Amino acid sequence: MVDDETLTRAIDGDEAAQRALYEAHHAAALRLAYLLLQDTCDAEEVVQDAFVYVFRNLARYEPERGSFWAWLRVVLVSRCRNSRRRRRLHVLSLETLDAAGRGPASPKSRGDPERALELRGTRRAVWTALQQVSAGARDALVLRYYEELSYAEIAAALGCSPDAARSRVAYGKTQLRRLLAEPERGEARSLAISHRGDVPSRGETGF
Amino acid sequence: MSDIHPREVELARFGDGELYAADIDRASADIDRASDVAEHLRWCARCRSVVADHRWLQEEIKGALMEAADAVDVSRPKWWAVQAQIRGERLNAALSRRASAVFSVVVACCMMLCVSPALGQSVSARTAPPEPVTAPPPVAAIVSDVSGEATLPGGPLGVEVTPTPELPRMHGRTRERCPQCLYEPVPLLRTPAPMLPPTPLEPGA
Repeated sequence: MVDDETLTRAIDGDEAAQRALYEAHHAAALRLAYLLLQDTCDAEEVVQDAFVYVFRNLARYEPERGSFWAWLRVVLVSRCRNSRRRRRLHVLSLETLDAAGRGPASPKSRGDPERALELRGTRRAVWTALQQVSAGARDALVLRYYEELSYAEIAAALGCSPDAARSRVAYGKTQLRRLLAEPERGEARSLAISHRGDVPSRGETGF
Repeated sequence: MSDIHPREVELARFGDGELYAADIDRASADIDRASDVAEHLRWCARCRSVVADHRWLQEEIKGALMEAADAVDVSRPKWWAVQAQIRGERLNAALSRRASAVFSVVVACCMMLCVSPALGQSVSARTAPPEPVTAPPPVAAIVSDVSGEATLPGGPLGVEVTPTPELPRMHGRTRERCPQCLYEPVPLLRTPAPMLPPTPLEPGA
């Protein structure tokens, strides 16, 4: 992360300081955007839009209200949600084209990250199931378990109350558990259950 | 001991330790609920299994997200692309401001050109001198001949016009200009005096 002096110079308009700020946060922003969108191309586009917005409005940033990364994260999450909404409309129109026999190439040709990922069986099952969870719950799970934010910070990023943030996290985990426990998933369930182990007895839970 | 199983969402939050959270703003109802859930879990194996699933799932979610994020191919930062986009947006904003200013000037000129002739016409219509209104000629009383035989004075129609007596002036002078206030008398209008119907003639008179 950058120091306060670099941040101050960036706010004052120093282009070199702004570049240092961008390069320091670019990787973390790209990873977070990818986890929210599950697509590398969309993630890169959203990250660039977020940085453009942030640098155009850098004069409005108040260091005493929070870190630069916290502000960038709020902008990034908002841009990701907007991108998802646009992509949903785009997908509907592509489905129409596909039905007419003029569909585009397979989405996997855009850079399917799962091919590059060397996930273990259980983690792959969890990652696959995570993509089927509702968008709001998935955002809350990513911010809670990847960014390790408090519920107040999750609420600020998602634009909801802390109680709503708690509910989304709990609901997301409930959805994941049901997806992993579906009989149709077969392999995922057996992998998940076998890795988890047996049900603990009364004394082991510590109640 | 409660026979009602807690909802899975509650068990998920219990598994995360959220029902035991020491947040300052947590309601006491949550703490009471946590103790109820803990009491239920002492004897319900099914709910214990659900809580264990959620604790396991929590760790797996963290691991899956970390591995997926580490596997992302972080491209080289494209600072030049960000700069180009910022400059482009600033240029577009400046051009749109100039275009709106030019448009406003054009609209104002058009309004002045269109409205000013209409205004001139309405002004000239208001300042035109009014047409003089002449009073209708006085209506003289028509005397009816009751007997039907004798002719009345004033002609065959029996119309007789008498001059209006002069009214006294404020200054006591009727036809001369007042030297003190420069009052000039208005020429008098001759109006007929009110005519009363004549008394009917006595037969034989």
